[in-house]
Amino acid sequence: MTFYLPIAEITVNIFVYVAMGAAVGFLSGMFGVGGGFLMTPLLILTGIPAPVAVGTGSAQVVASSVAGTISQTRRGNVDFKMGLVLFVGGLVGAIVGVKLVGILHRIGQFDVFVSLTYVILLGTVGVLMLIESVRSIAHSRNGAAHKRNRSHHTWVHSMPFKMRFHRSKLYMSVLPPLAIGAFTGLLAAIMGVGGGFVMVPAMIYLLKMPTGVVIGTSLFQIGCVTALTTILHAVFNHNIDAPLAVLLAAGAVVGAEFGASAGQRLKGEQLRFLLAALVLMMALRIAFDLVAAPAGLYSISFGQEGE
Amino acid sequence: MIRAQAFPVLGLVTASVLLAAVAATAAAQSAVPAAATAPLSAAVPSYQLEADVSMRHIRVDVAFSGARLVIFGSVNTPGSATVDPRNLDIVAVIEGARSQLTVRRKSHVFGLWINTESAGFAAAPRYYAVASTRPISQIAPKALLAEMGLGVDDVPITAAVPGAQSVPHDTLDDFRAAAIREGVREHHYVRFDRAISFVGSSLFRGEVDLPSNIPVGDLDVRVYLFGAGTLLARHDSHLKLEREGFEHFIYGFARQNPLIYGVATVLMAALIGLAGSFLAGRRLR
Repeated sequence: MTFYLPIAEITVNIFVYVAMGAAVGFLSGMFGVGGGFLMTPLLILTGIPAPVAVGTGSAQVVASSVAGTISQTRRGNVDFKMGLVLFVGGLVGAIVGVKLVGILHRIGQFDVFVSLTYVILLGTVGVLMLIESVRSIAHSRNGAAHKRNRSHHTWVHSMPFKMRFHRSKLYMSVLPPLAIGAFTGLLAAIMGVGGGFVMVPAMIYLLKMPTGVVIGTSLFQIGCVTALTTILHAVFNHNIDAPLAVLLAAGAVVGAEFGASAGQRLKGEQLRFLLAALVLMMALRIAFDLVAAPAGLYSISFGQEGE
Repeated sequence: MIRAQAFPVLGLVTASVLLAAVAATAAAQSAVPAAATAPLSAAVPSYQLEADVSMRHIRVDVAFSGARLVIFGSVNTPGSATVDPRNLDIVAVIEGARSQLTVRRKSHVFGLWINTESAGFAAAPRYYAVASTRPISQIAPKALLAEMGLGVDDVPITAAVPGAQSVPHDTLDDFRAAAIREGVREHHYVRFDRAISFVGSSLFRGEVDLPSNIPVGDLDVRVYLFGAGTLLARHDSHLKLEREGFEHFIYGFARQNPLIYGVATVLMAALIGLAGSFLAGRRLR
């Protein structure tokens, strides 16, 4: 069954995109990541123009993170207070990010900057998570009841403006979550992703939040940030294809629910191991494109320079 | 010994034959462009070309998945002279709206392949198809085709945007050639050799399948009549691809009220999220 997309200006098979939404939704429900870092490349791969892929991908993330947030709330896994603090940081980061995009476009190295940032961030986050989760799994295999270090005496916890986050069982400064939120907001604006793949590990390892609460809270914050970036894209770039967003969203919400139930059956360290593997695979994929000799040296794009 | 002596003679003969052949080819080659410079000269019998396309409007609705365009027409000579289509060729160009084109070139820097150079062109067609009675390289000399901007090798990609390129002026042609290569590879620029044929003595018709990702808007169709390597006549027509119904509504909404459109999309996405988790919640309970 085919459908002509009004903004992407291409005829597509409906079921392909519903299935794609379901697959990405499953992962996002399971790991608490929005899935933008998977969805955008997939859309481009299937022939959706890159700007439309970035914009519409963010609209899809709204749907799957709303669905994910609700099912996590039902399980008591969302720290709304923490989520709002992260979102406030995210607003600032997104605004700075939009400015930075303009500067990088003028210098003319936007693509390289994005690819390198992806590789460095995904690579670092992936390796760190992989090492940690393998260690945790080894510990629990050894039978030792491994307790994660929940010391409240790191530098992160000795900052001013302390606030109590009941759900996360934390009493800490608002500055670290604000900074993490700002950083992910920056990424969201520059790379067209929610930033969950950076925020989830940051919340686990820097803020020392319990893994279960991290997933729900990050979904909540991602939903807020991507709702904002979707509207910004619609206003400034006209690159949101609403029918495509609906197809992806319909698949994603179903996938997210199954993903969340699947995630419940796995232990925290197992989840972190799988997410680390996924993130590393993505990093290697992008690194390969940077290093491998391209099929053609030239590429073309119609429209305004830098559009 | 005999064979050794025969060699110079044989060589001389071969050389003179070769020379004669080269001279003949050169003469032939120079003759064609000479005729080509005055393509519509009155020396050849005047031909009248009439042509049209099967559709003036193509509706782009939700079911749009490309369209088949029929190009047809007739060739006549005023007076009693009969038309012999065996000596004539038809070339039709279907060209979409033009827009700016940026061409980027990668280089190997510190082990990474990154875009280092770019060139901007002011106007390049977003869609360009050539349909003809036979490969156009057999229809007209290369110089004439290049001059007319006819054929996928000579897609008219015009004038670099001042200040929009990081490459020296003399390599701009490389970028233009690369743009055409990439355009062909990505099916922006297509050729349909032998897609047009004569029906009887003066009528011709041909079919071209327009792809679904063709830019919506105006399409120019130019039909050329060639004979003996020269342009004899030309006929232009237009058609329009227009969004209809739902497509028209969504596109207009996104362009005219982008803020409301964005908010509506977010609300719809959130609603789908709500509905999905509600249904799933009932299923789980």
